[in-house]
Amino acid sequence: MALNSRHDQMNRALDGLLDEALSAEWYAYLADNPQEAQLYEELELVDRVLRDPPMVAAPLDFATNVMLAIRRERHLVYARQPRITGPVLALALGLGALIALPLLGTALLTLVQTILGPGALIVLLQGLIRVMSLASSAAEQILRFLGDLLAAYPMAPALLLTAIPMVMLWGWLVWFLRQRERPATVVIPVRAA
Amino acid sequence: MAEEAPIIREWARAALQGDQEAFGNLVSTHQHAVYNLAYRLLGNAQEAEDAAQEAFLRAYANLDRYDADRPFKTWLLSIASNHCIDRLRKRRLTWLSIEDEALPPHPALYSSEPGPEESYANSERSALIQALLDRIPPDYRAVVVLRYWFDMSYEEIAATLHTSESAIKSRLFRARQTLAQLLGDEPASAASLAMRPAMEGF
Repeated sequence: MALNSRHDQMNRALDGLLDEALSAEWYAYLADNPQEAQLYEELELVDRVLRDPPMVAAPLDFATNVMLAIRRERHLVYARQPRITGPVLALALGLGALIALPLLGTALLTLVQTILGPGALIVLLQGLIRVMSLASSAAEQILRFLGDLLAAYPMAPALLLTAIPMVMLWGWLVWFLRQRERPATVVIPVRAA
Repeated sequence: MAEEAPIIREWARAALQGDQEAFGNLVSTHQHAVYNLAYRLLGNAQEAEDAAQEAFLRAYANLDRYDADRPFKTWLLSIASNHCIDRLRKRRLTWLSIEDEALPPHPALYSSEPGPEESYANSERSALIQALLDRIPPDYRAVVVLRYWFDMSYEEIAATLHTSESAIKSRLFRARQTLAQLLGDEPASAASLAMRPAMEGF
């Protein structure tokens, strides 16, 4: 008998899974193989030791603690919210692509026509210069405004610098207070013994 | 393993719909089984409690993965046993990093503090069996516990531990062989354990 098959037969014999004919065959095999019979006897002892093993009970407050932990772990509660399933997501992406495709195509076509059109480079450069000049005049106005402000209120920069950490502190305080959990109350159903 | 009561499936379905009370019923029903599995695999009451709680939390977080056509208990025990095996592997890595340091004796055998078995008639047998289990590798231990404590078939054990039936048969044989060698080293304990009637249980 092959090794694996022998081990399998030994397991099945110990677990009472051999029918009458196979069982008789197995014991006949053992009778002819004293070494195997010795091993089987040792395994039978293990089987006797482990049969009907003692159970241990969970601590009395175990179920209550589990339910409290479930309430405490917010992400577990979130896990129960309905999720977007794969097919729905695929459908939404497909629809989005269908809508976006003609729009993007048109935009691309217009862009290519504009770039390849006569005088396109000059128009582009003129636009660029206009944008740069607008940005430059805006920066000039801001600087002038800041200069006037500083002349009128010399304490303004100091006040601004103090306000920044104060705002950050208040922001953190609001965030911290909102994070605080409310005490959870859980009803654990009790089964009759 | 015995067939599951229809109410369990009803609770599982209700829990899937977000009914937390139904999940509470499932926790109450299966708490002893999950705790017992964790205790037998980890051999430590406190760690077993943590692991069993973690198993229930994982089950709750992954309820949408539960196949309502399969027994809830098998699914739950699968989560618990795989979590415990992971813990044992991590623990083994920690032990291996402590060079030449002797391992502490099993607390159930030597501690003066009352263990969870104390409330049962035959705590000595329970502790001796636990001491034997603690000396076999995690993979073997899981198979032995699921086979003897939960009366699972080879097929159920394979499904629970996410492996093949042939791997389970091989592990069970090797586990029994290892336990036989351990019992052979302590013939007095072996005789005592084998002769003692099974008085425990609930």
